[in-house]
Amino acid sequence: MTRMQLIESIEPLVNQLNAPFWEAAGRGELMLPWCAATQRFFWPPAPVSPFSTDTPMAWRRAEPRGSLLVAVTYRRSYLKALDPIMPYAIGIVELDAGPRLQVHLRDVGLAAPGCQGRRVEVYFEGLLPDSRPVPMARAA
Amino acid sequence: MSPVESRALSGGTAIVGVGASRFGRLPEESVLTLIGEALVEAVRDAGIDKERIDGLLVQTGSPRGADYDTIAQVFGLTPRFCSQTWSHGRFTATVLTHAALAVSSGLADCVACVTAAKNSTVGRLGEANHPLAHEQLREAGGPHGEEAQIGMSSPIAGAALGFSAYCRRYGIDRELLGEIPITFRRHARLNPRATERGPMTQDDYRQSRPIIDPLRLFDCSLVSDGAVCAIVTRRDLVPDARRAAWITGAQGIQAGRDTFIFAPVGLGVAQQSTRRRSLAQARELAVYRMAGCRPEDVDVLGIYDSFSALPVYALEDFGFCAPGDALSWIQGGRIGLGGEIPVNTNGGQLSEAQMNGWGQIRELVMQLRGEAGERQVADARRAMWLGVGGDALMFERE
Repeated sequence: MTRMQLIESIEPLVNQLNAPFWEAAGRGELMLPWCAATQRFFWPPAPVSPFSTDTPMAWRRAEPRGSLLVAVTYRRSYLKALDPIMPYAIGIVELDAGPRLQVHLRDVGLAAPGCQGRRVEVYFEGLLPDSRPVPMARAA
Repeated sequence: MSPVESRALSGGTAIVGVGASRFGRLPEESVLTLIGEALVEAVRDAGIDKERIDGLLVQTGSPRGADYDTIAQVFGLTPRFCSQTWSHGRFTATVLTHAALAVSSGLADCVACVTAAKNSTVGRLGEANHPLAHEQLREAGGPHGEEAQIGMSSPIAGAALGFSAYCRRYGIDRELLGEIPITFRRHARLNPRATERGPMTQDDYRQSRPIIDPLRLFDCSLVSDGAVCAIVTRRDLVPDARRAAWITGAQGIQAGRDTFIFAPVGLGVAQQSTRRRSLAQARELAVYRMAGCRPEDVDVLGIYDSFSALPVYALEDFGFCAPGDALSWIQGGRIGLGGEIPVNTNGGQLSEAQMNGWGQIRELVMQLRGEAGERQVADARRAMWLGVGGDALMFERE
């Protein structure tokens, strides 16, 4: 579990609700919240499915594939810790499993106009050498 | 519409006084000095004594502004009904609606709504040295969809993703967006209180510094210090009915899986569906039903514009044009002074000051009174406020 800190941080806030996602990410796997009542994945993690009144969230492995909806490139640095990887891009992946997931893109070429809709694979790596693996996408 | 709702809000309450501080980068000023300037101007404008104020609603509060209890103590107010929203913008219409509900229900008689922000000295939102930096690591995403753990810092990231998705969906040339900041700058040049009054051309816009592609510096609201105050009371207590901006329609900010703060409803970002609100649906929104009018009956608009793309979405979501049409529709002066529907005649948050939309509220009141000087929209009788969150207010003069 992570304690919230007011110093500069790029570590996600991990707790009992979302831990299965981050633990799977550490193994390089995509685990998503699942609604048993409607047989659908959803995002973000919630104690009860947003598609149901009282169905508790379950976790299931999901195929880490989808298409890149859009991506945008950072030209201005906001977090000093990330200066070494500027410029970088972030984007939205429409997972084949259903939900959309925001991802980091090491390849800013994926933010070029022609790349919208491109097939991508979601994988997990630390933004920096010593940081926790987070969702990223690369061309499939 | 139930009789209770229409009695409470449609024409029963009004903004009777508005005031603003100086705007700009004023790092040496106390935020309390700025609040004082706005409060005193609004009280004088309303023609009332300070003692009449018995309600106090604060938009942003600490750490950028000041909290309701500090404001009451510092200025010698004794409100019996106070409330305060969070440390961001967005709740402009909601705060005014709460004021109208409070005075119409008797919880207060005369409510001062105050927004204040000292942005020049708190760092930039998205950077680690900002007091709200932790929000971008908030569970389930920050207030604008931020996820700093993937490098997604700052509100502009969500705005850039939203605008990219909009351009992709409708096959639009992003340069058309220049019409928004350029039009609002033209308006600001006629506003002595505006922070940025220099000319802005299409070339200036194209050459402005890239922040997060495709958005540029001139797509972002200003770094501003300042305060705005609006005073709300009910019909039997209005000091001068001819100077009142009557609240004739309202609807609240909306939320849910089909919304994202920097996109129209159903654009298909975040977890939104791809079902946009149709023109016909937009024309039947609660704010129009309550006010008994339609978009074409509105003479002047104020729209939340912390980023230049937001007014584009609001024009579509509120039925001024069909989904996907707004960027073409606004070209050629349609939203400028003298155009079909002038928008943000004060210069907006992009050129007057980033006062979370309260500068536009003040401007709409001045427009209805005929006090907008060179920016006056001829015979403005009905003014409307739009937020991209779905919040809206209709104001009319008698």
